[in-house]
Amino acid sequence: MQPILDFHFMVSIIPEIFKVIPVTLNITAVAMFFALIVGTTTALVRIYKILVARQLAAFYLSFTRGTPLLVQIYLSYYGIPKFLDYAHACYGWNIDVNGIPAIVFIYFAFSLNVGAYLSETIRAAIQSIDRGQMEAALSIGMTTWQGLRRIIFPQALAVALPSFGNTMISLIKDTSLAFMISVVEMMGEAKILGARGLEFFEVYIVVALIYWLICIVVERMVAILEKRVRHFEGGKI
Amino acid sequence: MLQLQNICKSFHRMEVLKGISLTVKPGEVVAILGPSGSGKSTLLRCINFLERPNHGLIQVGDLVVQTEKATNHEILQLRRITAMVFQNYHLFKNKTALENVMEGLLIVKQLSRDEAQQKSVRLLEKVGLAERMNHYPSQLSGGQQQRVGIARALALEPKVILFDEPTSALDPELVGEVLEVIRTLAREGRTMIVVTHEMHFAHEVASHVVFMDEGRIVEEGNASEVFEHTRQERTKHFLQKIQAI
Repeated sequence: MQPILDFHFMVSIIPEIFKVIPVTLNITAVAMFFALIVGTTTALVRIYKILVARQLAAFYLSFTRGTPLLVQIYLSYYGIPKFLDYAHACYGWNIDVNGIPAIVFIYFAFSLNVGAYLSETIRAAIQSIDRGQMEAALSIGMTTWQGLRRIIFPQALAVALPSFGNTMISLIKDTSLAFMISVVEMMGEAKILGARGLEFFEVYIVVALIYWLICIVVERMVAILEKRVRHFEGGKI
Repeated sequence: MLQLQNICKSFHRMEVLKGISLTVKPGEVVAILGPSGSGKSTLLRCINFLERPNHGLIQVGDLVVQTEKATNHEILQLRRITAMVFQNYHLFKNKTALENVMEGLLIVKQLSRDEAQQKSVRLLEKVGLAERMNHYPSQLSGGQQQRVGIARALALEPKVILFDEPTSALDPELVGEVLEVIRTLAREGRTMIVVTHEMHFAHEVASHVVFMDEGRIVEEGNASEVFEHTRQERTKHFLQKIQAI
């Protein structure tokens, strides 16, 4: 009788899956970076109730949180080229749509998707900071932006970091959708390897373990970072 | 040094300040007294433009600000020559005592790090906290935090320092150390406006006392005029109540 799992095969594919871990991490890092920018911007637009932009932000948040990520990936993948073709025809933008690698559409979709979720976290974190902090900054003649950058953001970061960690872990797992538009990350590689030997179960076990491992490492890193960011909260002396 | 003309401020329909005019001469210490809700704090916050007055004129030194059409630039200028000491200290929680004092010097005055640090250390020595300069606000007592707050206000060499009930959030045994610092500043001839409930302190330190009620100045004069030769019934009533405690 054959064993339930082909361990030899499982071990043999580990190096091949490891090779594409950078793709997964790359998508995570780029999406997280732009999501922080998008999330902070929309949070500020909503906090400061900036005209028009506020309505746009509300629409963006509602749409993004009300539609599946997979649909957003397809919209990005099929929609952006159409838009660029149109811009090319009308305004003579000289962009070769076929030259854009698929991963760019993934960056786009993930950044906006995660940005919407971060926006709420960031807004809540900023609003949790005592108003007096900003008033003190203004009272010594700092501009609102200086107050935000030097006083509010560092304190809000300490509040938001655990949430950022959770979002990032979701994001890492969601990158497995990127193969739907043929970006070969861990999940894509797994499917290819599985199809080669028709040993899907083994491949998916290996992939699951690697995702798990990555998430544990990220969790640890966030915990360490949290300690550093919260240094100022110290104990009473 | 400072002149206010007909400052009015409403929140929604609530009229909080109903035309306040006040002149403060250089080196004068003005104490503002009055029951809560009389608009004392709002008046101070208006001078610092933390609240935007609906109407009126603020003059500090050479800077004249017509409040209803104040530009962002004017507001920034005004804030840079006035400084506020808050009731709840409002020290920057993510910065040490030293960094709290340095912040304005670095960002607003754009001094070099060395200069800002030297100056800040001197100010912390002055308020008696040099050995605590690397502590975060969470590691300081209320009195210590408030003294850092005063050093932070002094750093920018403001023309007027505004104290918004600087001791009312403090434990009774910590009030003295903060009042002592303010007393020192008064002796140095700094121009200050202090909103306070410390009557003895007001009597002792203030060169000019203002009594406010319901958004108006009811009575003003030097300390003995207001405290001992009170003219207005409303003021008498208030002072009696306070003394009864």
